[in-house]
Amino acid sequence: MELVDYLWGIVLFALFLTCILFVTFGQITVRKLRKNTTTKESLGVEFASGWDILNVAEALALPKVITDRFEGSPISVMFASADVLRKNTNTFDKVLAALFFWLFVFTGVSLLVLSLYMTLFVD
Amino acid sequence: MATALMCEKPTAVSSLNHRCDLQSTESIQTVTCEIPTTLSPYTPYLVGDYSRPQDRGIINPLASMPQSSAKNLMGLVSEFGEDKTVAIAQVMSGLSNPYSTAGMGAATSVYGGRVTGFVGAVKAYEAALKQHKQAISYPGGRQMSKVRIQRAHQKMVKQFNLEVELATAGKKIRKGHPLMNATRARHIAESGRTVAKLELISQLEAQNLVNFSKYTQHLGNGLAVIDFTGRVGSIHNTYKAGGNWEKKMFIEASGFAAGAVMGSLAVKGGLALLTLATPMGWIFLISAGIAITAAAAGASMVVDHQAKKAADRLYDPILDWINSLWN
Repeated sequence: MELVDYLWGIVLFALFLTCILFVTFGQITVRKLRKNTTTKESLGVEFASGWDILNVAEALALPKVITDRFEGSPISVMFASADVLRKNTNTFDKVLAALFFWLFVFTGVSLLVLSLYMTLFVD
Repeated sequence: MATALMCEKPTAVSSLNHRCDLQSTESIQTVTCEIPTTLSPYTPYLVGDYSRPQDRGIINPLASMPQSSAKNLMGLVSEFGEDKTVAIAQVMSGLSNPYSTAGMGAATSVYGGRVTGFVGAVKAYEAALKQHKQAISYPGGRQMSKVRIQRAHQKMVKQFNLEVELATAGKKIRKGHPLMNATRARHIAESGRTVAKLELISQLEAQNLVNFSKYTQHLGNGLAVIDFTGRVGSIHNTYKAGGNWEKKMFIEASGFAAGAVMGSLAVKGGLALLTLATPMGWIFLISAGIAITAAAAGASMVVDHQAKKAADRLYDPILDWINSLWN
């Protein structure tokens, strides 16, 4: 069991947590937002089923500076509307969103880095 | 050009004349040139008075198809019809082929016209989305914008269906439209689609059809689940071969989850990068969108492959560790 195997173990565990958090966040927060008439239209474009969960997490977890840039761009329709969402969620939702989103980013980036390392330097 | 026949239940050759439009003079042969009295289910047979060696080659991919895929194929044919299934298989092969734009080759000048039509519809759809933001600030604007978006979306879907229609047009002209030919309509209704008569122009068409039925599950009611990488199939094959299928399932599931997370992050990141850069026109956006999708797909495939290898190595240590927690 070399170092890289332990790293893979950590990343796979993070992947497992990400998927679980994806479902919990979707059920706890996003379902509520989908039903609420004020927020129903502001969840961004749903490329695939469940994509609006990612949109909402992004909107709630990213700092205001970045979400304002998203709002001002020509393709702002594709993103969830952060201002509207922040008004209609409580602190627990925001914490859960931040947890999920940053774990999601960490998992994705580590997967990419590890895979690139394995492809280029091992085998 | 070959006509292949496949049925779901053992069928006597004599009863076939009334179903599926066969003239009594046309003979039916197996792949190995024998003449059967009863057709066994899920095997392809060659129909015709004569068959050149090339035609025989056309149904070879169908003959080497596993029975689960053959069952899928029959389900799809009964749902969508023979011509449409072949056409959809053609269109899907273009989509799932990562080098499809390069492969258009000599046909590009003809295909170019159709691509404009579809891309034009996509552009109109995106323009409608873009105007939505401004529209909702006007009273009554939200409803109007919604209608515009819906119409643009329908146009886009229509264009895609046109692609499929064009692929089936050639075949329809030969056979005649069912509504124009009452006898044919009656035959189709009576046969209940337990017998499929597939008209294939080339071996490539047959191969695309086989690939399509491998990764598509027919669920009935017009629903087909398309699993682009046939993961479930490989787990099932391991189970049937008596291998360690639990391990295979862990490996495939890890690969899928890793690829999915990686891919969705790549798309999200790509979109975010697009906005954080300077504002740009829609044509650039489409090509950038394609680039993002291609990058996401490529990254997803690499990650999937590596995650599967890692899961393979880690399965036994993980199980040992879990067991050690008990003892």
